[in-house]
Amino acid sequence: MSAASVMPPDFMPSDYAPALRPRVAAMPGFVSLPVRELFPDFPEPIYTDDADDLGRIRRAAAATLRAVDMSKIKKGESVNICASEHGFGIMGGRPYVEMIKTIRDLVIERTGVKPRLRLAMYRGHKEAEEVEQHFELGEYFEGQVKGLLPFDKGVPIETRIGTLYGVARAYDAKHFIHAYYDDPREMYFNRLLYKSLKSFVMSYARMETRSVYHANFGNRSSSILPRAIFDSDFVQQRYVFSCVLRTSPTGVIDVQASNDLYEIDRTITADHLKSYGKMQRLFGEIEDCVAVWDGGRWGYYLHAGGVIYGVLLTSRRDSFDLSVPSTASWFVEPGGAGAGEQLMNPAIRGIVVNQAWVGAGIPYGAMPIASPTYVVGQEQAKLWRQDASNPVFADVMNVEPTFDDALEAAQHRGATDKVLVFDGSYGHLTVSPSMANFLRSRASAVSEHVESELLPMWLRQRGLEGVTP
Amino acid sequence: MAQLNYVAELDLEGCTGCNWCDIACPSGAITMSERKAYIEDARCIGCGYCVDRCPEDVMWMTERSEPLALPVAEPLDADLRERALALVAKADMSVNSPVCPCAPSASAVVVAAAIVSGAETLEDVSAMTGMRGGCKIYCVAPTLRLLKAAGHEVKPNKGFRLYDLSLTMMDLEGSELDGESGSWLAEDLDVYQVRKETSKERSPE
Repeated sequence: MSAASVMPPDFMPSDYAPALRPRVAAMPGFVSLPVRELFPDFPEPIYTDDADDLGRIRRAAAATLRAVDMSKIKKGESVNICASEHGFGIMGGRPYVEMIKTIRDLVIERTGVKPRLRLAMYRGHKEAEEVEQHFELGEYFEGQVKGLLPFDKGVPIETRIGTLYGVARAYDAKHFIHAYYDDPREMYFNRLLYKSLKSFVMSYARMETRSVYHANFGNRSSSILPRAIFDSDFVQQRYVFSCVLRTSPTGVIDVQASNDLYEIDRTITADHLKSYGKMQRLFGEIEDCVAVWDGGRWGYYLHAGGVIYGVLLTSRRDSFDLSVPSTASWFVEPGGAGAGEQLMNPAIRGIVVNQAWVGAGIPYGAMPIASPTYVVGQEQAKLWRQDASNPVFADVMNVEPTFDDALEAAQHRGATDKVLVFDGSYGHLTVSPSMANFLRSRASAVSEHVESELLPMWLRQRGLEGVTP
Repeated sequence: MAQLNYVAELDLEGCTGCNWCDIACPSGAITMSERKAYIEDARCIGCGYCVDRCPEDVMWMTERSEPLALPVAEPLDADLRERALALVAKADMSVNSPVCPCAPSASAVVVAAAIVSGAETLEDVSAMTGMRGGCKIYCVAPTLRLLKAAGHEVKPNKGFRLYDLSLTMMDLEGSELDGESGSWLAEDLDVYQVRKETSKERSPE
């Protein structure tokens, strides 16, 4: 049996990951299923993991940046380009890096000011250094690169809902540029409610602010927080413009820049409700499968067809339907599922961890209990045993010497031959032939349901009826 | 995490006294003396964050010879649970909040139990329950709220280790956002029944 025809993007080696293993897509028994075969209306990408395509990213970024007003930046003033962690995990990170470099070049060209780069990372103190070195950003930015973490020195931000705390280093220049990506990622938390502003309550925010956002509000009303911070005088005095790497499940489709972040957000939200909406509801159709992690970030955030694993995990509920109070929340609906139950999907009959970042601050809770989990190799298993984010994981995981052993065990116990690989792919899904056939058989009906019923409802719930995806 | 299997260690000779491990430690297990870091084994929750933060790479995690039992964990005795539930209600929090998903036993009730058992700071709660073993982020605001409800002052210590923030959606009840279309505040307040404490404790998941 032949291997998949399309290889997933390479990824960055990391201290937070086990040693690199052979990619699953290169092994016999898998096929590449193009997402446009499932949904032919999805847009053509401008980037397909080919170094030559980076020129298209640069041209798209330069074109949209020419229309942006940069007059706020005066000669001699300081400017931060604020970038966020997960952009470096999209298609290997190169497209995001190219967009950031282009922002720098255009700002210099138009204002004479050399921007500094601020890398907002999640948790690990080595993450920023790894990104800087892997993508050679230090050289490009002439040494003006610094990482920032939620535990770094804070700065109070007065907002209409009270004082919230940002990370001082994000705002330590006269001006800043919001360099973002539109991957909807945790759509089960952000619900596509002002997702383009999320960095202000996460990436550029202190841990206390992030905690309030996640744990003290429902995942609909939490969208108040990023708006409150972005709208504050503190941020608005410093903010110049936003530049966003635009994606669809097919890959990178464009770059969009504007001084008006709300305008960008409306466009992106409408587009995503349609494209990612179809993907999340297609995943919701899956009745049985083995999920495979095979990438260079946390398991939750590895992509398959541009959609992260967490979406499959939570796909029993429609993340975009705002009449559903929560799809993953610290709060418990009376009579509803608690946070632990929400992160269980009985359709996932097994999980095979070929390679991924070990927990490192991301808890998987009861997931490995609900879905038997098979870790490949003792070296990787040792890292899980030491992971304080997942004390239960090591107790229940199964350790197998090879990927083949792990997959066979998962398929046998789960009584399924359908396999979906989360390996960072955009544009296609790495799947077993049976899963490919299953998804093909359901895609058309999902598309019709989304177009005729769900999409109009999703748009209406967000006040976006007039915005055409 | 009802018991802890790992503990941090360091090479004192290589320690430069930079203080970063002390600032990073979520459970207050590290103290500095004469520009050297010292680890109090009984407070170390084995999270490994000091190892990640150490710029000299002179810290590491090692397996404990005997697992360390956490002082406050399920099952709580009836009296302690009752006092903990009273504190959760006073803080106007959901009794079913997981607070710390990294430490499955560190629910709102367990965190409250640690506080009524004597924890006065975020670090104390962490050392007593194993909370903040993972991300160290999302449990902070709910715990600060419980500490304040118990009458403890939350003040920044050791530079920028902590800021006082425990805002919840309940605090915005009756504000201009309550009922504002698109804020979803009124809807969430209604759904989660936090306008009035009517929620009932669920069995531990």
